[in-house]
Amino acid sequence: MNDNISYEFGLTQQQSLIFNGKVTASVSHDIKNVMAIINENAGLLQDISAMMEEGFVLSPHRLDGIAKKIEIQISRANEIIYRLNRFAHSVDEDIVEFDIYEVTEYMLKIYERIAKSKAMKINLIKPCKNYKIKTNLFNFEYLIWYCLDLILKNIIKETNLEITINFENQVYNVIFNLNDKVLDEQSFNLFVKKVSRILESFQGNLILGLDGKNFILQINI
Amino acid sequence: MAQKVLLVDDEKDFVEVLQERLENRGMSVQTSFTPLSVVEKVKKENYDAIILDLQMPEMDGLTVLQDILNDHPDMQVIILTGHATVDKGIKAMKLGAMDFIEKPVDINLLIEKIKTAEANKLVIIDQKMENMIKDLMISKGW
Repeated sequence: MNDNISYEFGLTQQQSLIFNGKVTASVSHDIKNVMAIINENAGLLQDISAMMEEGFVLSPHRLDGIAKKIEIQISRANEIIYRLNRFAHSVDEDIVEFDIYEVTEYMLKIYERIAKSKAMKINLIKPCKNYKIKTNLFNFEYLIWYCLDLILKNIIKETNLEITINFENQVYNVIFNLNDKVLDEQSFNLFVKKVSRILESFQGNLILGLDGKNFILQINI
Repeated sequence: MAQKVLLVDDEKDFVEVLQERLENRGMSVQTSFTPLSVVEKVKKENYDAIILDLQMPEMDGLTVLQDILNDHPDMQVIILTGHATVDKGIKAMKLGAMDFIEKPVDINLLIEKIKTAEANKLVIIDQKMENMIKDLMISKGW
C-alpha cells in the first residue's frame, strides 16, 4: 500500500505505521509470555534429568504432564501467530470482502492483554447472521482498535464492554455498549475528527448514545 | 536457611513451573497471580525477595512496586521484564527496585539475584541493629 493509496482510503502512512507498530508490539509481548512458559518447562525437564542422575524416579505421568503443558503453549503461540498473519495480510489488497464479526474477533484477541491491564472485560456477541462487507480491511481493523483504545483511555478502570453487530436500515452497525460507564462527549468528538477520513471511505459514522453509555460505528457500504 | 521468595505474575503456567524449579533448589516460594493481593501478602510475610512482573492486569507493575516500597522501603524487589520493557525495568530501579531480569528467565541468574537480595536484606538488618545499639548507648550517656 503506497502513500497515495493509503491517503485515498483515509489513513496517512504515519497513522498506518503507528497502528502496525502497536499491533506487532502487543503480539510480540504475547509470544514472549508463551516462550517464557516453554522455557521454564524445558528447564524443569533439565532439572528432573539432573535429579534422576541422583536417583530421583520420574513417573511417565509426570513427563506426559510437562509435555502437554508445552503442547498447550505451542498451540497458544500458533493462534497468536495466526492472528498476526491475518493482520499482516490485511494490506494485500485495497478492497476485500470480509466478515465483520470475524475481523472484530481477532482484533479483540490482539487487544485483549492491553484491555486486561486496565481491567476492561470485553464480550463480543456473535450475530446470528454473517455480515460481510467489501471495503478496505486494514482501515476497518484500525477503527476497531482505536474504538477500543478510545474507551480504555477515557474511562475509569473495570469497564464491562459489550460489542454487538447488526444490520439495520441498510447500514451495518458495530455497537460498543459501556454498560454503567460513560464516555465524555469531548473525547468522543476529538476521536471522530481524527478518524473522519476513514469514516468517509466507509460512508460511515460514529454516533455517541445520548447518555454516553454506548456508541455505534456505522458502515454504509 | 532457605530464601523466602514471593513470585508475582499473572501467567499461572509460568509461575507454577518457576515456583517448582526454585523450590527444587531449596527456596521457599509463595505465589500471587494478581497485583492486588501482593501488598496484603507483603504485610503478613517476611520475604527475602519479591519477583514482580511489570505487565499485569488491573494494575501497572510500577504502581505495585511503589505501593510495596511505600510500606516496606527495605523490601528487595526484582522486576521481570520483556525486551520492550527493559526501559521500564530501569525506571523501576530508579523507583527503588533492587534489580531486573528479562523473560525468558535464566534461572541461574535469577538465583544469583535472589541471593543478592537476601544479602542486601541482612546488611540492612545489621545496619538497623547497629543504629539501635548506638542510639541506646547515646541515651545511656555512653
